[in-house]
Amino acid sequence: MSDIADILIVGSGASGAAAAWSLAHVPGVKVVCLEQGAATLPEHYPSIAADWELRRQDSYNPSPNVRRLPADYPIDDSSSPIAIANYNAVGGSTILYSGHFPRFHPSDFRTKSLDGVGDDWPLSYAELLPFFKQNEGMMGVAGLVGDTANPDYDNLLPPVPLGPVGRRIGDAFNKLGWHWWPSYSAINTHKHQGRAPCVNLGPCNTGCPQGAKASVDRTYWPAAKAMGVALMPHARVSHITLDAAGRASGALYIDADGREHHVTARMVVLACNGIGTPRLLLNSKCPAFPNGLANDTGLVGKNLMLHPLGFVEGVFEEDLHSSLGPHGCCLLSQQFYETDRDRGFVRGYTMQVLRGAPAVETATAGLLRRQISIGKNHHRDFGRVFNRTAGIAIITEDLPETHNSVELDPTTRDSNGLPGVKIRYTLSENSRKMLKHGIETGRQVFEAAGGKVISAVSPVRHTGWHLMGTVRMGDKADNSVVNRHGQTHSVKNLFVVDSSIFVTAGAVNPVATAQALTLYICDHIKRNLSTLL
Amino acid sequence: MVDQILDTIIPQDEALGLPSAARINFDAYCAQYGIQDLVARYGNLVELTAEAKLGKPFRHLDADERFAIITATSAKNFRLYSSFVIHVMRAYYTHKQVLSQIGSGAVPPFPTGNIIDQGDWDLLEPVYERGPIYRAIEDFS
Ligand SMILES: Cc1cc2nc3c(=O)[nH]c(=O)nc-3n(C[C@H](O)[C@H](O)[C@H](O)COP(=O)(O)OP(=O)(O)OC[C@H]3O[C@@H](n4cnc5c(N)ncnc54)[C@H](O)[C@@H]3O)c2cc1C
Ligand code: SF4
Repeated sequence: MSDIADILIVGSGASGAAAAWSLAHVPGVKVVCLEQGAATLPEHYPSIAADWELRRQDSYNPSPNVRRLPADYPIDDSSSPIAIANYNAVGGSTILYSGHFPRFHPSDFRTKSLDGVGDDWPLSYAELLPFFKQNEGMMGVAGLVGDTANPDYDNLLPPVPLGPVGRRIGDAFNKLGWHWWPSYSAINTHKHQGRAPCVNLGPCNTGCPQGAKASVDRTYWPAAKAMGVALMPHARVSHITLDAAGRASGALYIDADGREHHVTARMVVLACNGIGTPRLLLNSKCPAFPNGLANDTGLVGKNLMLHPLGFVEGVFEEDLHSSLGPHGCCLLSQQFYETDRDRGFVRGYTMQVLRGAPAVETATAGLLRRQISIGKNHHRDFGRVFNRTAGIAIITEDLPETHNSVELDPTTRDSNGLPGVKIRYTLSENSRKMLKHGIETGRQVFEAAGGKVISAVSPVRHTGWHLMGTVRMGDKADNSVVNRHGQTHSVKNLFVVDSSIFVTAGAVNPVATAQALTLYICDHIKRNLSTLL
Repeated sequence: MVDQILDTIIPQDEALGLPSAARINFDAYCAQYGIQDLVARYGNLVELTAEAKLGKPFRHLDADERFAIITATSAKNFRLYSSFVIHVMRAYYTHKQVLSQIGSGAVPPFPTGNIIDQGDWDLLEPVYERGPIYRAIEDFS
């Protein structure tokens, strides 16, 4: 592989893949992507085996601190009530994501003007709209048009089936007079873009061997590679380099054998996620930026937002086959999404209905909660829970606060000797009130559905999978790191395209919005290439 | 003796077609997860508890007595007891015959998959009738 690129992308996950595909459309421009992880093999995903629930617990575990694969870096989240989840491989965290794919609402881009909190984004929902649509076409999104909480959908694949459990809960929302809608799911329900339809395995969070879930190794990457993008796995970037004029000149990376190389590039685009991107910038210290690249304001790594999550689980008397079907994609409610100050907090949350727990999880959790006994009553007790449960995840909007942060941790090292990171995060009073409200409304839903709540927890610890805000975007160089086009204020040919540039977090899973933003930024880059390169 | 412990924790249920935990090749699971030492330690705890409480080896007890002894081990060493029982659950609920009988769909899930009925979208009519609930903002047309 040549060590010269026109555009160098770092990170091959949700945003890096979308960037690679978009930028590959420029004739004559060589795009290279460096990815620290390996390419996964769908034929090795856990759900090919009966013991998939056990196989998912090590190398497909969402916690990097449990997996400890060579591509992972240590994340000390002991000073946070929420532990970080990710996946470092070709396709990034989309290998494990659920594919729940709602967009931000128009109001999410105007939290300061509307509610006096957070900040307004320097761009609007309307400006992102064409890119939402372009992205959804590439990823393949199932759902139903006509949602009263989400404007402007006009072309979706048929929705993922609700199944008996979804109907039961949808009916409960109707009884309460609350909004609900089938999930926006980045899951093929028909053959789409050459990928097969979903066969309702269930464990989408362990990788989809069917290829129905839109992980970007199956969507953007084949197309980007066909257009000539060079994707290099096992290439961990340690440092973004600058030339004498203060422009990004490429990156140093370490290959699988521990050898260091330099790729020279005319533009560098970062897509390492809300933890990996600030980590790389903070690691890239140089005389011009002694506190980390583009960190003149000290904002790199600050304002971490994680969507604190509450969880209510209920059980029904009837067998609803609830463990079958895409676990995270069933239906959602946005009844409490927009601000209503009478609730005692600003902003709001999405209720994402999750299907029932699989067998091992049902048995072990039931045992620990003393709902399932051992001995002669074991089968009776197990049968009263398994396939009869459902969960409601309360995805809350946390606001940007500078003390919630990612910083380098000199006490830990990855497999190449680079420092790990330390997370500091505390729940705000607003988030606490929102979680409490969400847990209460979740309970009401189960009550209306004729179910019994068996567990209600908030915040759930191992749910830090939405990583946002740590390289924030803004018009002013004194309170942001990148401008509305993802371009760092201080290094003109250095761009950031992942959700670390989010100004606020919205209250939905971020990928639909993050990828739309990536495509929006790449569109700007393509239009202005002659002045940027 | 391990078989008797397993059989006490999850006995066979003929009506449901479910085997005893002693019939799921627990040995292979133990070898795969390297828990032979834990199993030996738990077996020892069971034996000591049986001798202390009933003055007999575990294998000479009847079904009710065995259940009482297994339950008593949880008070003596909860950590060891719960680790062992959780391993039994993990082994049991990943066994093909068990999964097929409890209604967990295709075993393994891939490639066969499962059929779920699409449902009736008329259920959304009341939501639709209440009209838009997102906030309209100025720069959004
Ligand atoms: C279990 C789980 C479930 C989720 N479910 C959903 C969901 O339903 N809907 C949703 O919207 N979101 C979901 N998410 C979150 C979603 O996956 C992420 O928000 C999204 O993938 C982030 O995209 P990204 O491109 O910013 O980063 P990633 O997809 O994480 O990709 C970043 C890539 O950069 C690479 N990298 C990092 N540092 C370096 C370096 N120094 N050198 C080279 N490469 C580097 C990493 O190895 C990684 O592959 C989920 C996440 C998890 C873990
Ligand atoms: S449920 Fe569908 S999307 Fe999920 S893993 Fe199975 S086939 Fe893939």
